[in-house]
Amino acid sequence: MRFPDLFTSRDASRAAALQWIARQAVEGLTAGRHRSPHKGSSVEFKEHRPYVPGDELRNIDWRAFGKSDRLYIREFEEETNLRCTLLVDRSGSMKYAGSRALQLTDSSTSIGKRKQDYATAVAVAIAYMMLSSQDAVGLMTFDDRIGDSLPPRTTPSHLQSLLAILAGDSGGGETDLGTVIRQAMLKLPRRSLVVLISDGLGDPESLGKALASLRAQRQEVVFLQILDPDEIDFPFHDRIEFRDLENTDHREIIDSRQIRSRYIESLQRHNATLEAACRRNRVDHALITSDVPVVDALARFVALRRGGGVSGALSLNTPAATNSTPPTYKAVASKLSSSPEDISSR
Amino acid sequence: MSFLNLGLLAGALAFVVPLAIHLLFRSRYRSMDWGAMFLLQDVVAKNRRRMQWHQWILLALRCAIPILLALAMARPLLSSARALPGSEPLTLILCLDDSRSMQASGRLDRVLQATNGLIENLSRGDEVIVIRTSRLAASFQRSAPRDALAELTEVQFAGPPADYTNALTACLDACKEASHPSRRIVICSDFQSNGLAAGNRWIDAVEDAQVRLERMTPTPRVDLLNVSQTDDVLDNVVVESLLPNAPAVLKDRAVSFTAKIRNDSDRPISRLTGRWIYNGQSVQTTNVDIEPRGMAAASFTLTPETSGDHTLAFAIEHTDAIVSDNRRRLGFHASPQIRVWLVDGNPSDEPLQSETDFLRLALSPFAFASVNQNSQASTNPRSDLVSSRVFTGSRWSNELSRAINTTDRPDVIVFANVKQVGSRRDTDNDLLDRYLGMDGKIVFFDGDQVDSKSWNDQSWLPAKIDRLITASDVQAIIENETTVSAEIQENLGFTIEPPRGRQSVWGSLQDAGDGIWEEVRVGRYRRLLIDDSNPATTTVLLRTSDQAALAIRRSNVIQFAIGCDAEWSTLPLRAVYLPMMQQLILDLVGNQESMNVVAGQPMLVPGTASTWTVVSPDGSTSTLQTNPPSDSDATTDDQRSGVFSETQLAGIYRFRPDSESQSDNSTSSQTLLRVAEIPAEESDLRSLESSQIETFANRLNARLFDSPESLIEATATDRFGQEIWRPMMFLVLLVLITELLWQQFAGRPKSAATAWKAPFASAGSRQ
Repeated sequence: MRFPDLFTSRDASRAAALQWIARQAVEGLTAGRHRSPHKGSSVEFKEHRPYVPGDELRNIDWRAFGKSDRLYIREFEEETNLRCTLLVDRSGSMKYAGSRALQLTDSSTSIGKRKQDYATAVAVAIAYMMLSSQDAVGLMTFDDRIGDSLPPRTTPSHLQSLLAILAGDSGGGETDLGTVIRQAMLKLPRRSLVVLISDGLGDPESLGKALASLRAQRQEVVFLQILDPDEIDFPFHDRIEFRDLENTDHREIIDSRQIRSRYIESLQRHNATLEAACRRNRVDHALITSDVPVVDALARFVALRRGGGVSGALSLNTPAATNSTPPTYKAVASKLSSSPEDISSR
Repeated sequence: MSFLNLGLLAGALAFVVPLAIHLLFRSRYRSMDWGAMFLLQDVVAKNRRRMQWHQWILLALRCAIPILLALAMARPLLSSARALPGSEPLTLILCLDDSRSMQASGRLDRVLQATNGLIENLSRGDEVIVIRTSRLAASFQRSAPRDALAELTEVQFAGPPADYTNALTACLDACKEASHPSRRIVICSDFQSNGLAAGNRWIDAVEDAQVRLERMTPTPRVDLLNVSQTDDVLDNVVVESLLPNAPAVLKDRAVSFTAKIRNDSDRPISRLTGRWIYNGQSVQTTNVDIEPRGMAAASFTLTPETSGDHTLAFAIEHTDAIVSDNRRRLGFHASPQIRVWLVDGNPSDEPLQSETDFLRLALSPFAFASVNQNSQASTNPRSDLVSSRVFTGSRWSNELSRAINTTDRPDVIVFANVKQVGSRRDTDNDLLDRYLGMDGKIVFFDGDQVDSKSWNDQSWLPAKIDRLITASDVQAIIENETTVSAEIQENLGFTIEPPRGRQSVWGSLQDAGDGIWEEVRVGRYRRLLIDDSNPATTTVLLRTSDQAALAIRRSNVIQFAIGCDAEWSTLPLRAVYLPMMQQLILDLVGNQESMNVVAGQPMLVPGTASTWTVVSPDGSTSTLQTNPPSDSDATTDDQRSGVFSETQLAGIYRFRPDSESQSDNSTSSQTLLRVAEIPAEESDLRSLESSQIETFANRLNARLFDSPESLIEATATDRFGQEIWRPMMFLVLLVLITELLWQQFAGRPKSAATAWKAPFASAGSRQ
């Protein structure tokens, strides 16, 4: 897989224009646009404190001295850059490729329509966006354990390293998001941004606990749930032998029409649990289907973050889903295809 | 259950098609890699058993469709337990109510529809016995179905009232004549209210019939078709009666006739036109107004100019339910002056001492008022109706021998206290027999001269003469005394029970009240021993208060137990005697009963000719033999008379004697007329109460139908079974729809729909 296949130059220019602002204070290595927990030299006044020997004289507020005849030091907010770590799911379930998913690479094969490819594109877009903002981006891939990893860096050449890892087709085992995140926590820098890109098809309770641990580490967490349209509306009607992508020995022959509604119900229940866990741990959760252009989805997500809401706008929990008839993919697709302004204005 | 198209039943094997498809479908599937097995596995684990059931039910529905379709196309027949095998020959006993009321309001059409349908459903080997209620006595004719259809086209529904119990009995009798053991009785009628005997006697008859039915093996099935319907238009006007106002019609004497018209509708009828038709010629028109449910009368006075048989009819011009009852006919015989021979057994020269003096005075009162009576008898309106001639000894037999075949033949011969028939006993007996055979009338009065043994040999006397009963005998018995004083004897006497119109002969005396009889005392009388073997033909005209018969009548003979003088009773001395005797003679001579019969009843013609050509009202002719050629010596009254039974049609029957067979050219050359009429109650179109009809049916274990279609369908079902392809096709459609719905909706869990109605509790949006 080549980088231009996943991410065209037009996409790159659109991604570079996006600004991902951290919701909370982050600790960076260089000055940037993001709030830092430390006081620094930005133009944003923070507070006065009494002078103590050793302080630089240039920081004394002479105007306050004239008024109060005491020496005060002016302190300013420090702004730093963002350190973002992308956790990209490479498990077997991410290899599913539905017919309606975007063809991101060579159209002769299903490769390029897989959720894994879409997740790679999303990761690349975010990385490009971060690097464009002088923010550091790191990467960890995982399936049932942590695979490849790169620490966050801000150099443009770091993008090539990220792509080299993402272009590989490793992984394929079963996902255990909770375990993996707990393993990843050990390698994550403090007060950074963690972007989890996964289909979330695992134990939601375990994931919830892991997210709670991340939050306890003062990490800002964003969970981008990548699902194929087929996994949302289950459009099958005939007898199908479903082969598990994570466990090739597991297969079920099913009259798909009979279980469609129950499957959708099960998916709803699963996502509801995920939603609840994310809400409880103040984690942004966005459901993105693989038929939406990557940068479009990212642009809407960034806009929603800026507007203060994410999860509800891009999740399955849409007004269309309140119909008595089983949901169709169109309901979700129409939500994703609407403009960022429309979403942010809600 | 049987099938009309058994071969198509093989189509049921097509059920293997959905079965094969199902099995093939189960073995054919496509494979795909699936990521969200985590979710799918949970769903499958929870719904595997339910999905298996769903599949099995779906398979059953799909297999049922070709099976049901093949069953429907094979045209299955559902047979009841009592149904006959279709190939078993059947005798259909079809009892038709061919009474006149069936002409009303489409009843005829319904009957014909039913009968035609029933017969058309029969097979070639079946047979039909048609019984008409107007001809229950007729022999049963077994017909092939096709012949029965032809026979039905000739049935005229104009007969007399039907008696349903008799009809039922006739049907049971016909069962014995059936060629096939399987029999079915179908009675088609309008079940008029007069068709069953009053009270509950008919129930006994029906129960008897049921017992007879149950004894038959196999038990015939009885079906009743009631063709009267509640919405029938029952407006009808009927000429209820047509009667003369005099007991006898005499030549050149005016007599009035009264016709009564009954309006059975709920609306008044004004200026209803009625025509009087005398001997086929319309002679007078009259208009009458009738109230709703009311009666009206029209009168007509007629003076017959010739003697002999005449007919009079009254016809109204009105369109109603039954047109044929708008005309009623009457036959009557116009006699010249009545000739009565009085044979006096105790003559006397003293006034009123002779045996017949009182009687002669009573019969010919004007003869004593005018010496010229004989010359003016035919024109003087106050002349006597009766001319009497007194004979003594045996002169009467010589005279009768001479006159019996001439116009001088007496109308009535009265034997008053005559010792014996005659000196030439056998000859006189034969003479009297011949006289009676020529419609002669005899009145016999008892007396002390009567030799009871001699008279008891006469078979034409209605009763045997027994011992003399006197008032003293009775009193003695009452008081248990052996002797009664003379004074007491004079005051003793039997009283006469006032007839009060119980007998039509005394009808004109009824207006005078019972008082005219109270003064009459009977001192003695002969006890009459009435022949009990045939009591129906003997009528007691007069009796004492102790119910002892004083006068009885059988046919043309009246026998008194008392004398016609004042010796045995005070009757000749009382005012009632004259009108009583006049009435008696007039009624005896002028009796029109023999001329007018109820349709269906036999008509009697005298044996004056051995062969009669009978012209029926519909113009058909037939021949009637009166004298059996092989047994001329042992002739009796009945044998000498001709009996014509084919009188089911109402109208005028003309009896023409064949010239070669006439016994006497002088008296029997003219045509005799007889009239058959339908009783007026037949025009009462009300049906039996539904409870009565149901009781009638229930007691017979019969089925009751009110439409020809239901009867035909039920009988066809009984025999061939009921076709059920329609419900089968409906079932196929139902299964198809069920399969469609089951396939679409049954696989979906109910909770899924509700889950979408109540989505996730939270929006999941972090604000």
